[in-house]
Formats: sequence, C-alpha cells, structure tokens
Amino acid sequence: MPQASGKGPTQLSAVFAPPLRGAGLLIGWCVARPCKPDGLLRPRSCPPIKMSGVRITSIMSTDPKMLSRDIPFSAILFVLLLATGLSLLAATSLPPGPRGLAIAALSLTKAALVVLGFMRLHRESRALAGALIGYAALICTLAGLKVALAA
Amino acid sequence: MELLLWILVWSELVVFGALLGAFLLLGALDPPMRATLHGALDLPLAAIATAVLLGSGFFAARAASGHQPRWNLAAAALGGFAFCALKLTAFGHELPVLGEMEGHLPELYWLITGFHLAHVLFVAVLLLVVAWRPVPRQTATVATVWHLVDLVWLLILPVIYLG
Repeated sequence: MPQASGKGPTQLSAVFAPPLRGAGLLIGWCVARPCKPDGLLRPRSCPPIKMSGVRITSIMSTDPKMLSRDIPFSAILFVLLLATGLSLLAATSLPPGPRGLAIAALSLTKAALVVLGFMRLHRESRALAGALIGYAALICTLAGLKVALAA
Repeated sequence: MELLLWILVWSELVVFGALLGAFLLLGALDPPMRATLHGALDLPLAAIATAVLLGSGFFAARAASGHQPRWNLAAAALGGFAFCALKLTAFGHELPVLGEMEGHLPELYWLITGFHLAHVLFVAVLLLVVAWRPVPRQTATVATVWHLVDLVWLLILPVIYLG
C-alpha cells in the first residue's frame, strides 16, 4: 500500500490572483492531494497500487465512506456559481485590459472545475483531463485576448 | 473509459472550437457588427441559464457518484429543460434585433447557440431515458456527455456573451 505523500496544493494555485486563489487551491487539491492508503486516489508521484498481485492504476469507487473524502459537489457548485458571478461583474465593470484577463482566468477556472470537480476525469486519465483543460485554456485565452484588445 | 465516447467528446469539442474560433475572427474583423450583436444579447438571462446548467451538472455528478441516480438524473434533465426554456426566451428577446442584422456574425451566433441548445435538449432526453432504469455504466457515460455540454457552454459564454 502506498503511503501518504504529504504534498499540499500544487503550484497551480500560485498562478491565480487573490480573487481566484480559492478556486485555484480547490483545483490543486483535486489534482495533487495525498495518496489514500485504501488506494482510491493516486497522484502521479505515488506508485501503482497492488492488490493480490493485480496492478491497479485507476479506480472509480462509489463507496460512500471513500467518497466522503472527496471535495463535496456542493462546494464545487458554489465556486462555479461564484466564478460565474465574478466574470459577469468583470464584464460589466472592468476596463478592457483587466476585463480580458479576468474573463479568461475565470472561464478557465470554471472549465477546470467541471473537468476535475464534476467529471473527476483525472482519476481515469490525467492526459485526457490535461488535454481538455488545455483545449479550454486555448479558447479562453483567445476570448480574453479579444476582450483585452477590443479597446 | 470507452474509446467511442471520447471520440464523440472530442469531435464535439473540435466542432464547437472551430465555430467559436470563426466567431472570434469575424468579431475581430468587424468590431461595429460585434458591438451591435453584443448590445442585443440578453446577458442576465444568459447568466441565469449558466447557473441552471451548472446546477444541472451538479445533479449529474451526484448521479454518476452513485447518489440516488434516478432522482439526480431526473433533476439534471429538468435543469436541461429549464435551460432550453431560458434560451428560447432569450432568443425571443434577441430575434427582433438580430433578425434585421446582415452578415455572418449573427448567423454564427444562431448556429453556435442553436446547435448547443439542440445538444442540451437531446442529452436531457437521454438523461431521462437512463433515469428510467439507471445502470452505473450508462449513468457515468450520460453524465460525462452532460458535463461536455456544460463545458461547451462555459466556453461559449466568454466568447459570445462576455466579450
């Protein structure tokens, strides 16, 4: 059985400005929280889990006791709604430059939260989760650039 | 994960990505048209629709996690139908202005939002079908497609409404 790695939220959270820090921490915690000794979740740094000689690299469990350790969906929803409200506020009140940056960052945060928080895709495949978030990042960056350069 | 499911997911993302890219490009080439279009859009209703769709995704995620799949899938489907009703109401407000506009930008707007609306309606019906007799594998699959619909809307919002 793997031991808990003890790593906290990763560098992802450091990228976000203070209004986004909470959401960034949430995403970072989703991706890189410590190993669970029961093998439910396994970050990249942890070795594969072996049970009776079978190598297990991805587990989706519906055990309520295990799921209780996950971030509650209600918390994810709250942050998503908060980010939506903030992006509307940014769209109506900020000048073009910061507005583009805020809209891009908040939209990317929401997309990442849907992928990591609702879909929990990183458990199945980190590559797929990363590709989806990367694709969303591309579109959000283009949208943010358009807004920022609109003036 | 099933390969076909992910081929479907990426096909949808590529199609919507191309449409959104075209919208961004046309908007950059014709700023006055983009400003007129943006002025005609119903932003508060789009915000409410976003909240409804995110709430619906919450129920779909709960269903996929094994929490009362039948009721959570039905709640997610109801959220989808509510989103459709809100979008149709918004179209009713926007049609008089956008109908008089010429050019490709309004056409793209109708195409992107209408195509997404069709997706929401179709997958909401699928959610109801799966909710009838939920099986974990089917529940997870339909929830994944529903989150894709969520994700596409979250990309439409900054490109079209917040821009």
